[in-house]
Amino acid sequence: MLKNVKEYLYPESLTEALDLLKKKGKSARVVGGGLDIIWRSPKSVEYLIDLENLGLSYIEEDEEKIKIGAKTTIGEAQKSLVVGKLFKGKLTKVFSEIATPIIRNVISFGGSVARNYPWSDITAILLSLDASLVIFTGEEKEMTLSEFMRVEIREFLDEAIIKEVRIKKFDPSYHFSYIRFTRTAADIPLLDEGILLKFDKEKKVEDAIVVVGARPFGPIRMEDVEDFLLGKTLTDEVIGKAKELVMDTVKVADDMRISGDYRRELTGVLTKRNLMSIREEI
Amino acid sequence: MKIKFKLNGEYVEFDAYPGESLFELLRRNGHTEVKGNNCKTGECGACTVLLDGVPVPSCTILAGRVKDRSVITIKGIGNVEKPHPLQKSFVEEGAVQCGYCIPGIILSMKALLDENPNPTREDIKKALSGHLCRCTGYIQQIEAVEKAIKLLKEEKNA
Amino acid sequence: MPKKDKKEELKVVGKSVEKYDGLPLTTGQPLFTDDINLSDMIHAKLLTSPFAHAEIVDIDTTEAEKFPGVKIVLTYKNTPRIPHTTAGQGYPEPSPYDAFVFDKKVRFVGDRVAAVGAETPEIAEEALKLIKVKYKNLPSVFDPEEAMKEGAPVIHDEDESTGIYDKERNIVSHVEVEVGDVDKAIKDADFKIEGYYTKTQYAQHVPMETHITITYLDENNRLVIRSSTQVPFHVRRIISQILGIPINNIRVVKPRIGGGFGTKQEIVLEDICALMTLRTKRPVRMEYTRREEFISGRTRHPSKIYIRLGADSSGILTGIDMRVVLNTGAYGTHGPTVLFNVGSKSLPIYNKAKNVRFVGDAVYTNLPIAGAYRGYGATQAYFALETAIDELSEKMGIDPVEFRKRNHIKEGETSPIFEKLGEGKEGIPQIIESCALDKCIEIGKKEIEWDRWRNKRVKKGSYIRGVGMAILMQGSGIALIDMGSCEIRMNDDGSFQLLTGATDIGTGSDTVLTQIAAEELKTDYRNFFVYSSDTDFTPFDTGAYASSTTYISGGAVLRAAKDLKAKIINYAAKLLKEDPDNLYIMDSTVISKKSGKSITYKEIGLKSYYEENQEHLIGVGSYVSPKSPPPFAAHFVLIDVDTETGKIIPVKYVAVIDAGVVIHPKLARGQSIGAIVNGLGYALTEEIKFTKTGASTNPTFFDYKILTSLDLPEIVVKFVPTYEPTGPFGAKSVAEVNINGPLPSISNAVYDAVGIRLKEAPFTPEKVFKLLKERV
Repeated sequence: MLKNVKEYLYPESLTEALDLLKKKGKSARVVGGGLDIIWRSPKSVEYLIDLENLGLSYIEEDEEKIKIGAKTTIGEAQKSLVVGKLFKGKLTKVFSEIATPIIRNVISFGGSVARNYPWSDITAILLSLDASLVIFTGEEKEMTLSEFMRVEIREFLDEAIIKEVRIKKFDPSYHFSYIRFTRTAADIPLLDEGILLKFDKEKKVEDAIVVVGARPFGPIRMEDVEDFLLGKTLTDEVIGKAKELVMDTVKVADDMRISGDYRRELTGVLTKRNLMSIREEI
Repeated sequence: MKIKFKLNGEYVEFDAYPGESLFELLRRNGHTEVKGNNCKTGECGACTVLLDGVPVPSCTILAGRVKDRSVITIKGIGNVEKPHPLQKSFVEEGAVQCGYCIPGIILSMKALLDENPNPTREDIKKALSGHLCRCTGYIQQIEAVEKAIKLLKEEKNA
Repeated sequence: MPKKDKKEELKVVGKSVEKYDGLPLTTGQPLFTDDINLSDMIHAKLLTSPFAHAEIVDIDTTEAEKFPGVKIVLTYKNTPRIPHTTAGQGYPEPSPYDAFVFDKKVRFVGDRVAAVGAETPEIAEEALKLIKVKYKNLPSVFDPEEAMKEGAPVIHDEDESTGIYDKERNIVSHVEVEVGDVDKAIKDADFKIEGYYTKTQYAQHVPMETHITITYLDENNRLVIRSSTQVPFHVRRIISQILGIPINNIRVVKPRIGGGFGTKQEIVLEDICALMTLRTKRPVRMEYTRREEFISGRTRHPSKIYIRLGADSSGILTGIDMRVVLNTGAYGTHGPTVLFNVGSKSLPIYNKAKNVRFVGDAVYTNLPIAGAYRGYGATQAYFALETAIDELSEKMGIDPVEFRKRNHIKEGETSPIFEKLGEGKEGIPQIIESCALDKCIEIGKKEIEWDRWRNKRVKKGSYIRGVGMAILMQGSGIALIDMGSCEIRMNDDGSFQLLTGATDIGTGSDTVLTQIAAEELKTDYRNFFVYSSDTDFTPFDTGAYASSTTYISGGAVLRAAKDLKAKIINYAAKLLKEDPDNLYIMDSTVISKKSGKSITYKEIGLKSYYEENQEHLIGVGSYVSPKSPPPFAAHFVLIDVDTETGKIIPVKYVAVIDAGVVIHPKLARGQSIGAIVNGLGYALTEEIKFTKTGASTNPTFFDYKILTSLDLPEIVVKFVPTYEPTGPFGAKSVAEVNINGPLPSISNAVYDAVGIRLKEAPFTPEKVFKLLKERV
């Protein structure tokens, strides 16, 4: 129980929610899935702002992108036919391995992005897919997840509410693979990696995103590796070199779970496996 | 604050602390059928209830979120006189030992079967993976779900 | 005239009947400790030590006491100082009396400092922060081998503690037994293993329900303790001892509990709650949060076992030399008995070895308290023994399965170890009267396809496959010590009440014991109402531990049933005016083989209560056994090693078990699978890690990983029936033995796959990866 909460508020619109957030200041929090708030139970929280009925739970599409409302849970995304169309169902499969089935019914996309845990599968996956966000600051503002992760998120969200996550509808020339390394099946990743590659007609890499997360630091793009892969075909030699490049350039550290050295080895293994998985598809 | 919602099919209105969880709200109001030790991370799954038909760990749901929604606990799907086929099959297949994790598991399995009446063994294992059990090692629970699938089909055909 | 069958078929024993409490559990009935609501309840919270070893120079609770809503605060200043053990064992306990309700010293991070009782748990928690404690930090020691050295900080230097083998060297218990001349045997051996050791980690039971206790005064002003415990009668006795109140003023009730596995074979919260209730006259509720369960609960004894083996050229063991150092943590509960069990439950299995030595120490450290945990020393022992045996057989060029077949104990044999090692003292000699280990090995070997995989190192991508095995034994109760008793009463309609002290901790014992009674009384098992584990109403039982329930408590049920059967027959004889010797029972009816006259239980019930020669037909029985017949098991595991990450993936696990006659097949299988999965976690993922100052780094599910349904191999459990003449209907114990299998089997399988000997548990991917890399 959050002992110091004085009021649980039910705004009738997103604008009203934002007003409440600004008015109550640092002692107020919006409730996404609520998982983080309950787990941490911060003593400073005195006002909780409910977002249940503000129409933020949806998964829609237009010609170019999939739009996921901030309150949508991973469980809902996993069941969505719209999400199922991306990468021939691979994204659905990736979502279905995060955390546990019942916790997936609580984790919201907005909450995940806002909390930005270094082990968050969602931020790593979304970053690999070059996702963008729609932020409500009184008006709607779109920014890439990359940009969002560079701001001082906590302060930024004192006066803004995440409204939507957007993923491009990648055509079949794009391939995606994501692997998380865990201790048991119900676990946070001790290391994860997402790779998105676009191929031309000669099966040469035309565009590349490589993201490594839970290092134990949060997900970042491996730009040297992305540059290396451009213009190459995925031969054993190229995969081997990409693997080494990741291992050489990734910044890892020890944490209480595994050592930095072992993490470094794992980035190599994950890179090799992700690339081979993609190669089998093209 | 007062919170009104549908609990096991009937509307209720409970006095709630604004900062408490659904688990705390239910236990405090006499619903001892919701088990758990309030770990607040939802990782053991014992406190699972169905929120609008979706299984969630009640220790991770802020009570305020369930306003006007439907919550189902294990008492909402059957009783000793008329048990739900899952409640029956879990007993018959030796899937219940200490029983502490069971209400949460049965509710998750009900949600699974409501959505997919013909899950594979792999589907069942996946749906079960959010629930920790230290007594049974899970195998007989998976077999109990498979038996329940048969019982539900018989019920439907009857 | 109906004739009595010579060889009667068992009607209910051996059948998977419906579990007594099954439907109430699956429909959410309020069966657990916390499922009652007493008005006026006080909630208690514990203040624990942030330091591994310190003196409490002073403690000031005035602010806390004044905090609105606080009703009582307990510290060493206002609680009785009676040294006791928290271990739930029969009196006189083999464990040292080294614990106090609250002490002036703290001995591990998480040790008790003070307790607050308040109107709500939140108020109690706030009040804890107002307690001012002045600590004087003392040097601490975390390694048991270091703790035994001269100059190490003395953890129990208080005068009042008794039963400690050597206080100055932190040794709780020491054991040394020898049969023959081990040094000579190994020196002269044709083949030997020396310099071998294994190490096991801090791991925990993780019951889904944490420790919880509610105490209150009933309408007669008696103290009622309603607790999640495995040992209600021991709780009653120890509370009487600590608080100085007569046993008759205490009632202990065990409702349904959410798992025990040994962690509830202890007094953990009962003394604090009881004291608070006695002083405030109000009900008191106290539970461990999951975090507290991890830090201040109980754990398995970490171990380091050194082992030497010697064998002759025909492949027969000539010498076993086992030396163990157990880390018993800050208090000695179960230390001596777990120590002795390391030897007593493992060494007899290789009785061909004529020279055996067992030396061991259970040592204090400033770490969490190790206590009883399923396996109880055998789990640690078999890791050392069964992997060393594999090493030896490899050296000798003998297949490991073949080596076991040549050396394991057989029916009709004995081992001198039975006599030498008992419960913290000398043991009891016994002859094995039921043993199908040879069949278990044969069946398991076939089921795992041993010859298909062993030594083949089949590769698939980066995965290499290996197979390994282990043979195991445990016990059934503690010979000449564990006693259970039972009372069976006939109702006026011919149905029965079965009262037993036996503690059903999810094991289904209420059901199994009823089956035994129903079989003996030749009546439907649904004719019984079972009530267990209430010290006011049920007769004594030591409790659920040492694999004693089916064998000992069941033995008591059988005796009570036989007693009642004789009384029923005698009563019927008077009614039917026949000689009791002419009467037999079938289907709840007493029948005369002479005249054919009969009378049903229903009729007997009514008449015996109200009409003729009235007496209440009650059967009573107690059972204590002169032996502890071991169940045996052969375990086989097929694994893949992912050579790129070091991850071990269990593919198939086979356990073939000799549990005597299996009374309830589904429950027995379920329990055995549960023990195996628990053992798999112990082998692969479970570990408590500590900081340099002795604090746990992972007291959460987040980082203490137990296995889920998606982490399982295919598991096959088979039973090979034997008949144990001293067990009820031939039964022995069934489940505990299985928790000892995964650790050695997996280590042996990994060796088969990649030639690396894993000697330190758990076998995490990083550990395996490092060893693979070093080898290259």
